[in-house]
Amino acid sequence: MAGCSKQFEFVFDGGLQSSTRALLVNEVIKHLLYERNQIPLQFDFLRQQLALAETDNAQQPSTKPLSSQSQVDRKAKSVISNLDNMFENIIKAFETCPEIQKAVVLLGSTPATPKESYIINLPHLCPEADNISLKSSKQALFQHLVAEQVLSSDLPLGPTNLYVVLCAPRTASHLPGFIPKASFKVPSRGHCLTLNMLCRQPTFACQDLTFEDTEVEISGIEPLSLECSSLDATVAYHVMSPSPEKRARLQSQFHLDKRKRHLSNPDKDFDLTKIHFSTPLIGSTPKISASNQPLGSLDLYNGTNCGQSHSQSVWFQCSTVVKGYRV
Amino acid sequence: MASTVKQCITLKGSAAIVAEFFNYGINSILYQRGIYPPETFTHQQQYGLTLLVTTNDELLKYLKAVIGQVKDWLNELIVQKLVLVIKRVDTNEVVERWQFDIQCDKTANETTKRDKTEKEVKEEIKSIIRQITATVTFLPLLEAVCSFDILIYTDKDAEVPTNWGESGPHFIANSEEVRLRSFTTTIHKVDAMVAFKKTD
Repeated sequence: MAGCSKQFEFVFDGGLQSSTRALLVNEVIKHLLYERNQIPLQFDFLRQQLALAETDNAQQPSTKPLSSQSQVDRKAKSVISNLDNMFENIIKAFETCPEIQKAVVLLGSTPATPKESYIINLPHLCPEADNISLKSSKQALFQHLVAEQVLSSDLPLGPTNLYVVLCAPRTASHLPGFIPKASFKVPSRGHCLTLNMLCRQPTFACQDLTFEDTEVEISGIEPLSLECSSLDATVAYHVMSPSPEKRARLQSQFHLDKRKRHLSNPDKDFDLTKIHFSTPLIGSTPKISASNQPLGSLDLYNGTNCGQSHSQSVWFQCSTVVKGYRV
Repeated sequence: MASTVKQCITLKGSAAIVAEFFNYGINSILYQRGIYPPETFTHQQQYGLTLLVTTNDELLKYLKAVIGQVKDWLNELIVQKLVLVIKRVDTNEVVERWQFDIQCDKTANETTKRDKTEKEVKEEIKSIIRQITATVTFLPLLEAVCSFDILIYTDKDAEVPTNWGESGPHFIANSEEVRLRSFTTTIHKVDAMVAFKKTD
């Protein structure tokens, strides 16, 4: 992607529910705000400190706080309130449209001119996978993010605005708390980091039974070297088709040819005379097509927009903007 | 004509910088891990960060004594590790272990002057303190009441004050470790690491 300077991949040991994905996006935003100097303390500690300051003020109303401290507290209060609002909107957006595959966090004066962009590619939903809890997924993700300092940067960044834009399928006509942004494009300017989240999840084999053009042995058939006779053809036919009733279907499904040995691509002219009964020597196991992956394979991010084309997805920008501050 | 003053680091200055890092680092850990109530901490601006330091008199006294001794040993280049262990009060089980490995340049002496500015070192310290603060995002919640202990590993020939006693390493059974950043004054190099009890 143009302008992106860094990519980071993280693989979860199972599937993620939509609600977990929403909360992970929120946690990444919290962490990012601290790492990029937009808030002086980690979000939860900032909230805790503000609550303590408010309790102190309530207990000692006569003690007026210093004006600068009061201003800092006001800014902290505003940031916390806006973030709470933003997080709530993100959760609701994922509830409305669980198929959201991408979240973009922008730091800069406007969404079109960010100084820094963080693209979070979320794993695909997989109902068949064993879902992992928020606690486990958060611990695993942040252990890597912190240890490898993925979100930290030596680039100086003063207090600025934080915007969140979500990429949803076009079928999602409305996301609560978000405004559709048909013209939005992931900015190519500024520092950019892409966080690809993947899931280790089962994918099931498709029905493509194409064999490689190598010899295979079919168990239970004696090796014969004869060309087709009517009796042999019947025998062979019974092996390949357990019931005569399915003969018509088989005729459109199988074509056994000495040269091809394909068990797909039905041949219109199923001709028994073409069947060669010399059982081939043992060969390789069937080659599974690229779409088939064994159980436990990775849901690999394919680099496309939400795994969908641009025409299939639409951007929504969170109506809440968070303004960072410095003490 | 303008004159420029070139900054450099001496052994004494290096020991002071490292000791100061330990003071803020330990305070940050104690705050964020909830070992002491949050209302007993106050903000301080240091390294371009907002840090929380204790206002608890007993704790201040304890930390002053420990870090003062560490500073002396840093000056003597005989300290190898500082370890902060967090233990459950009810079972005494160690649940978290913050280890700071210290490599001393034994060739340094009182006349040594190293070509590195305090600002450069403090930038490195800023990154490591920020990383320590960020560890709360993945460290397991300390559900039981916990206390802490500080262990210092020194060279064998170190003179041990009377109020210090020998101790075991306080390792954690079935732990997970995360290596954090390091910083160096070129006389002392500090590598940080946190180990914590694996959870299901």
